[in-house]
Parts: sequence; structure tokens; C-alpha cells
Amino acid sequence: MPVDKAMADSILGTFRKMFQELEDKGAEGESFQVMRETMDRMEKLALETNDVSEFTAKLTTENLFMDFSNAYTETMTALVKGEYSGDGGDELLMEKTIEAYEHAIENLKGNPHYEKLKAPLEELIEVGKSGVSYPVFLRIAEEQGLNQTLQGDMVVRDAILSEKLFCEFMHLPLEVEKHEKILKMHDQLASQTPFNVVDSFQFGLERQKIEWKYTPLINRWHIISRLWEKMIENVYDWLDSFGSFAPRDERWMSRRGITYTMHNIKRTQECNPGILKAREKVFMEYFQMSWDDIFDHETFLTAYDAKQIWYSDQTLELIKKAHPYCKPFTKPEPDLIREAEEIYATQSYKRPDAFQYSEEDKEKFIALFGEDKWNEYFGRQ
Amino acid sequence: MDQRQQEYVEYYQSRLKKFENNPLYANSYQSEKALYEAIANSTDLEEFGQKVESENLAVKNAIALVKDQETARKKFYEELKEEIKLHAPLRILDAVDSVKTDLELIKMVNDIESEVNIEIIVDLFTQEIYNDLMMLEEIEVYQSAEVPDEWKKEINHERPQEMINDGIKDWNESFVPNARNWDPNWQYNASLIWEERHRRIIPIPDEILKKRITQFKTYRGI
Repeated sequence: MPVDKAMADSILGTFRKMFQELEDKGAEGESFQVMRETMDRMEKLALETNDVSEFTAKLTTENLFMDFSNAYTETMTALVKGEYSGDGGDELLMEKTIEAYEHAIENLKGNPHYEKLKAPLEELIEVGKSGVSYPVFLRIAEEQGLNQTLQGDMVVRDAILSEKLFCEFMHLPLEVEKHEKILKMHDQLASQTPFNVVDSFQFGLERQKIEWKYTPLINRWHIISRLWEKMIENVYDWLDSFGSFAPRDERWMSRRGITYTMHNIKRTQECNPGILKAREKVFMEYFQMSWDDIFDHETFLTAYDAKQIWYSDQTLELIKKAHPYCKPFTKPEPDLIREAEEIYATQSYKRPDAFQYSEEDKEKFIALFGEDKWNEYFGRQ
Repeated sequence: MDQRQQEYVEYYQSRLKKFENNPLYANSYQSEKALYEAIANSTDLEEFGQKVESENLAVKNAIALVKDQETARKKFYEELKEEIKLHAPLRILDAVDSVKTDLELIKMVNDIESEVNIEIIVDLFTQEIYNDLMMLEEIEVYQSAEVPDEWKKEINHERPQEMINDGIKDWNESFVPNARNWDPNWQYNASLIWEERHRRIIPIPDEILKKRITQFKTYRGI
């Protein structure tokens, strides 16, 4: 079965367009033939491979992307040399350069950063058409940093800002910190250049280094969070399983009847303490942390402030009180069970604003994706 | 020197200034300087054109830029102990002086990058143990949970065994075929986990990681 057509189109679209453009220009020769053969092979693989991962792997391991790209460069070079081989000299070079920039602006249409990306191109066209000679045009482009601006640095900076804002929206403090450092590095490098435009190569290395430093810290954060989430849930379910409401709760109810439901309840009552103990051992072995460390830990406090904790404050307090009793082969105190029943009866187990976005979150989301997207996803909130 | 040549001299001077006092671009500064001197010391543009061609100055300039950037990348990956990513700058630096044309240079760099990208993808399969950590924890939790005798079979044996069966099935039906799309002879090499680039992303003590590796082999049927 071939790869999904939409996926194949999105992967091959650019290559098809590049091939078509050169074919329309009447390209020929050995390198163009390589482009044609490579394109044909890519199209064939889209029909022969079973899924997108196999397709991508084949395109890469058969070196088709690179073969195409190398042949494209060679064909383009030959075409350009042909166009420039006349007697037009600098005047022709200027004309062709302006033409290329105008063509680039056309190609940018539809790009979300169109306005920003076209600005330096327009500036270059303006200089080119101002009546200066070709070498003066080249010098101005160099001295005013226009060539470097063409690398799209302002879009790169915007993208970092957007990523940072998204991490703020998602309440991921380490990711926010990482993006702040990347931004700081960007601006620091830019400030060292005459036109405040960063050297994209140098910045790329510095950026990788910051990301490299944060990866283990972010992983640690995620593991700690997922461990305490399960530990809290173990105690919560364990205490509730003793409540009179348990047979009616979906956590234990079985479609096969009350016998199975009661069996499920018994399992939670008798096994959760042992499971919790094993989880606490993992928590200690990994991070030398215990149950008591959870509620003051930055991972928990962040989740709490971000309203990412499902339990109400009252339930959390009850879970903390129940924890000392949640040991293998023991049961909770009757008072604790009573309190759990009261919470259940009043449906106050869930934090009222759990997983709701604040006004600040809303503003961040709208800044990133627009009001329509907010209404589409969260309009009912 | 006519006005047009003087304008070109100024243009090459502006290019030279871009790399001045930047240690990252030491080779580029020298090659730009050679271009600048060639035009400044030529009697006319024709002579300059001949010098560029006979001394291959434009290609040498492109080579210099590649050398500068790859030298920086080499140092960078050495510092980070990124052994596989390091292959690209090492191989490019090894080959860069043998190229004769700009097209050869582009092809050489592209081919090496492509080759090393595959090595990087294959190497990253080592990190599957990190993705499996949660399942390995669950297996250990269920296997070791203290439960009454009547639950031991279900909790300590059947449930973890189901997880292991699913892990082996997924490994054989999905993970390995995907990895072999990239390298037909691919085999999981657990010893790579201890190499700095992989070890550093798993933030747990060595002793515990050893235990997880043993578990991982069972979980994936390796």
C-alpha cells in the first residue's frame, strides 16, 4: 500500500517544484538527467513503501535528497553561467540579481513571515535600481549587513520568542528558562556585530549548547512529576475504595456485575499500599526523594500554580493524612473514610478550576495562535 | 586603476572587514585577504580575473569558510563529547583540501552530512531505553509490590508479564523493522547507553540504570 498521498505530497512538493522550474527554463544535460532520475525514484518509492517512516528512511538512506540537491546545484550553476556568459558584464549581473530578488519575493508569498522576509529583499532591489554600479551595490549590501539579513535572522528571533511564550503558556519553567538563555545569547552575539545581525552559524552552535545543557534537567523534571502523580493517585484511590460509594464509582464498576466490582475494590484496598511502597522505592532510588518531599518540590508547586493538579485542596489534605496508613496489609482510619465519603457526596474532590486557563494564559495563547483558535479550542470555557 | 576597478577594490575590502579580528574565521580572513590583494595589485579587472582563475581564489575562499566552520564544529562536539555528530566535521576537514571546484565542495559536504545524519539517527535508537523507563518502572513496581497471597499471581506475575509480552511484540513488529529501514544490520547495542551522549540524558544513578538495562533486555526480548 502506498504512502498517504498528502504526506508524500508534503515531502516531495518542494522537489517537484524545483524540478518543474528548471524543466520550464529548458534545463538539460547530465546533471538535469540525474535530477529527473532521482525524482522518478522518489515518486516510485512513495508508491512502493508502506508508511511514511519507511518512505523517509528510504529517501535518506538511498541519498536521494542529497543526490537531487547536488544535481540541482550543478544544473543551476550551468544555467546561470550560460545566462551570464554574454557581453553584458556588470549591467547584466545587476539585472539578473534584481530579477532573482524579485522572483524570491514572489516565492515568499503565503509565507507567514512574508512582510519581514521581503523587507531586506526590497531594500536590496531599491539599492540595485538606484543607479549605482554592480560593485557599489555589492559593497553596500555587505556594509549595511543586507546579505546577512537575508538569512532571516529577524524571523529566527521571532520564532524563539514564540517558543518561549508557548512554554510559558504550557507552564514549563525549565523550557522558558532555556529559551530566555537562547534569546540572551542571540542578542549578545547580535550586539557584537556592526549591523546587529547575528552570525547564524555561530548562533546555531551556541543554541545547541544551551539545549544540550537543559535536556537532562528537563528529563529529570518530567520523571519526578510522573512518579509523584502516580503515588498521589495510589493513595487517593486506596482511601476512596473503602468509601460506601466505591461500588458506584467508575474506577471500580464492572459491566460484568457487582461480584466483579467488589473484586476490583478489594484489589485496590489490598494491593495499592504495596504498589505505593514499590513506587516510593523507585522515587528514593532515582532522586533520593520521599513522599514528604513531593508537596514542596518545584515540580509540584509549578503544577499546582498552573492549575494542573486535578485534586481539590481538601482532597489533597486528606490524601496527605491518609498516606501514613497506606502500608501493606493495613486499612485507613474510619475518620478518614468518613471524610472521603463527605467529599464524594459534595463532589468536592476536584479542584474547581483544574486545567482551566487563566486570563494570562488566554492572552499568551491568543498572541501565539489568534483569537479564532482560542474560540475554536476553548470557546466553551 | 579605473573607477570600476576601484569600486571592486572597495567591495573586496568590505568583505575582508567582515572577518577581521574574528578568531572563528581565521582562514576566511586570509582567503578574503588574498582576493583583496589580488584585485588591489592588478593593473585591470582582466588581470584580476586571470589571477582568480589561475590561483583558484574563489574556490579557496569557499574552502576556507568550510574549514573555519567545521573546525569550530569539531571543537564544539569534542567539548560536548558528541562522538557521532563529531564524524561530520572530522570527515569534511579530512576531505576539504582535496576538492578542486565549488561544485565538488558542495557535493562533498552534502554527501558527508547526509551519511552522518543516518549515523546519528541510528545512534539515537540507543535512547529507546529512556523512552521505556516508565514501563520498566511499572514492571518493577508490580513485580515487587507486597500484596496478599491471593493477589500475587495477578499483581506480581500476570500483569508485569503482559507488559513484557506487549513490549516484545512492539519491538519485533515495529521498532526493529523501523530501525532496519535505516541500517539493515541494526542490532541494539546496550553498551552504547554508557557513552556520555546517551548516559547524560538519563538522570538516574548508575546502579539503578544497570538494573534498568537488565530489565530493558527482558522487556524488549533482546
